[in-house]
Amino acid sequence: MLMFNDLQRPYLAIPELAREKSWLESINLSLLEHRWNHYLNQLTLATVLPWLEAQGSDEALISAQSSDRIFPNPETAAQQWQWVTGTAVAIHDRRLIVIPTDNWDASEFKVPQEWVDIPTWQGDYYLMVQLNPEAGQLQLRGYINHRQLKQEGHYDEGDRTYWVSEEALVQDIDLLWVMAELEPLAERQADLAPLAPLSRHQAGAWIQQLAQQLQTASASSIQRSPRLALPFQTWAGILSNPQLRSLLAQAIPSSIEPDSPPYAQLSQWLQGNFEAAWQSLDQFSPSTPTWGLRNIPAQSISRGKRVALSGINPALSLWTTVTAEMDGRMKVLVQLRHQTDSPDGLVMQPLPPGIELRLITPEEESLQVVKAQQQDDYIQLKRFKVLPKQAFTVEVRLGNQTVREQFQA
Amino acid sequence: MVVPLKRENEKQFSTFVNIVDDNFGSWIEDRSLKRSMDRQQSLFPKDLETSFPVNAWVTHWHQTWKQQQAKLPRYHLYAYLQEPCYWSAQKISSRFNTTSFGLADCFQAAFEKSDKVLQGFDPGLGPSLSTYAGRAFSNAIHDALANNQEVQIASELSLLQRCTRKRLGKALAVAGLSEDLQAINQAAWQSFKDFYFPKTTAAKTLDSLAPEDWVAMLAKYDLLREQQNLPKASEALLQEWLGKCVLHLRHYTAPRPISLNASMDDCGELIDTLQDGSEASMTQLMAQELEATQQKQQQKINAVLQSGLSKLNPAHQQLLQFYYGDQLTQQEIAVQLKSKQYKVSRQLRAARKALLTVLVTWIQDELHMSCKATVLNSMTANLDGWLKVQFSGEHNQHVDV
Repeated sequence: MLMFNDLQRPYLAIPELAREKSWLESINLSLLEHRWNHYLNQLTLATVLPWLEAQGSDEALISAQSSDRIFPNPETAAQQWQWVTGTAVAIHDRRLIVIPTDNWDASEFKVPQEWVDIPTWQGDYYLMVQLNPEAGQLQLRGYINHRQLKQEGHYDEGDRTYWVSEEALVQDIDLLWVMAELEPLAERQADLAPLAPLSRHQAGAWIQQLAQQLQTASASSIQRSPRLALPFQTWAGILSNPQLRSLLAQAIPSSIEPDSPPYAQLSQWLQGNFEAAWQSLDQFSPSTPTWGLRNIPAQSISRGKRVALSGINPALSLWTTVTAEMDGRMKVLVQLRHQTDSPDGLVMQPLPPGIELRLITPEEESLQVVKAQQQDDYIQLKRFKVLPKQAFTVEVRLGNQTVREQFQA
Repeated sequence: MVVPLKRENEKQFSTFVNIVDDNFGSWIEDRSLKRSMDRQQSLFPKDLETSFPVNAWVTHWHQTWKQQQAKLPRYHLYAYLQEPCYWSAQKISSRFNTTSFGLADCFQAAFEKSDKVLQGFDPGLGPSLSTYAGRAFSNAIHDALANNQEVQIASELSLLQRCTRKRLGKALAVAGLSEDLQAINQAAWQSFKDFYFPKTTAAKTLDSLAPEDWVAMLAKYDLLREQQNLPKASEALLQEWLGKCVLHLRHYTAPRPISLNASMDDCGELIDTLQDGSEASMTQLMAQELEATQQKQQQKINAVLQSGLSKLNPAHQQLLQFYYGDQLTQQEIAVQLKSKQYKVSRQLRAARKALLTVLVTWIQDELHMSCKATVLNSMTANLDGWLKVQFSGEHNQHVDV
């Protein structure tokens, strides 16, 4: 890959681990159409935040308080990104809105209206990030301040965005830091009218109406986003009020509703329903032989999930095989493998020596531990039986890194 | 490599570069532009005739173009932009040396930005048009090269995923598809775009899509089919259409030869649109005055930069020397200094930021201007141009400050 030495519009490498992690997170979203955008936002944050921090440390611009430094925060991000793309990052007392795009064509910079016209959301600066996920890199294309975006940007009613052509961006990232210090408030921010007040009662009525609309729409899946279904003032009023927002979240179909719990449901597996991250061997790689698992009886189900630990490339995978017993219990076999892609399918590699696989109860009691020796291709827990609805956790540990997977029988 | 000779003053506004076999061939004179220049000069007061500097011509044609938006002044400026465009293309194509994207392709990618350059250029802000254009052209070439390369090596899935409706539309139109076919391909792509997410991060081809993906896409296509009255499809047909989209998208980004000279052909008839003599010589006089003011301005900026530079610590000055004077990459500098590339990058940025701070402060305090994006972009072009001259100790043809 050709990497230009562009100081003003730098290319940054997306960390391999971030790709894997973001992908795992995104594939767990239930609504397909939100996955890609979630993925892009995650990749962007994982790459751009550390870079901003490294840059900022020279001037101590990034505040030490990191918990409320980004909006949406990691807990609410999945929900918000399905409505509005982008993340606000606090840099000292300036607010930078980071907007990702993966379009080949970067001649226009589009910013959702929410980031421009909601007074509590508005930023000082808007950064355009262009990603090439496949090549594992992104480019900081330039930035624009709020005032110019609001006053000189074109407003597109169709998708409620403000857009400017790339020539309107400041195409020198170093100037972001310089201007953040030197640009007076009146020059970097345009005045905004406050949002029209919205009572809880009004909002409730809107949300109910919206929920009905979307329910009928979801059958045809044309327009499942509430974003453009309400007048902007109403939508903005709901979005900027945490209580109304959660009311909305409960009322409409969402990617992160509890139909995909954070644990794998083995009873569902036996009926042929799988969480998206748990994949069959065919999905992992079609032409792969089934090592070690050859003697699995036909009524068993085996699925694998990638495990992201830094420093191991490609990722490890955890394989879980479940078999129904006559007495209603389930027999479970858990394996940890290390494998690389090749034209002939996945090829086994030795595990990192010392890596551990551990079975843990909900009370945090450790029941089994297996540790990889030199040249072990895979390690597995001793087969165990569980009662229906019984919960357990499998932990992978290497040095001080741990990854946990939760199950319910 | 044949190095182009520097054009005489007036020729800079009437000649175009002729690239032969991906090398400089010759300067070709456009007769109507030549006549226009002669005519302008004949209108000069006698004492001006010999001393009308190039930058005053630039200002003159740029002012005239801004006032009239006419073709003639624009084409004079196109002629002037040949040199910065050629040098940007030459420098980048020799550095990256890709056979699929040579000097002529680079030149064309850059030259397509000419109108944007003329629009964005503000003569009051310091850098000369050629410095300002040089940076814009280099950016355009980098983008085109990166884009071309990325698109050629991108997988089918990534290509479809990262494309916009607009871009696909252009690609299909360029490929010469009928409107019906375009609509079908667009709909197939829309169904893909909304419902696709890779099963693994290594997914690359349409073949690797799971049956349930095709079912979801077909459902979406059926919705679009009802709305737009499109033909019925199957999973196999969808895949075939998407495969075609991929081909058209790859073709679309590959460089296409377009004759630049062809666009100049209609210059002849423009001669008549010239203003009458007295007005023209007025604007020339004004242009000359304006140019003198600009030169003073540039001298002030140079002084500001000089004093900013002298306040930098020796390590930062050394880095600027490596980067701008010796044209080393950050990696090469890191090797030279036995340091890490990210450290070099950070130090280099610190040095640039210090100089940019000096410039911004000067613009705010002395010119009382607000630093809009256009001002800032002119400023960085100015800074980089000045640093190159400062540290290379020579006036390159394409950096005339």
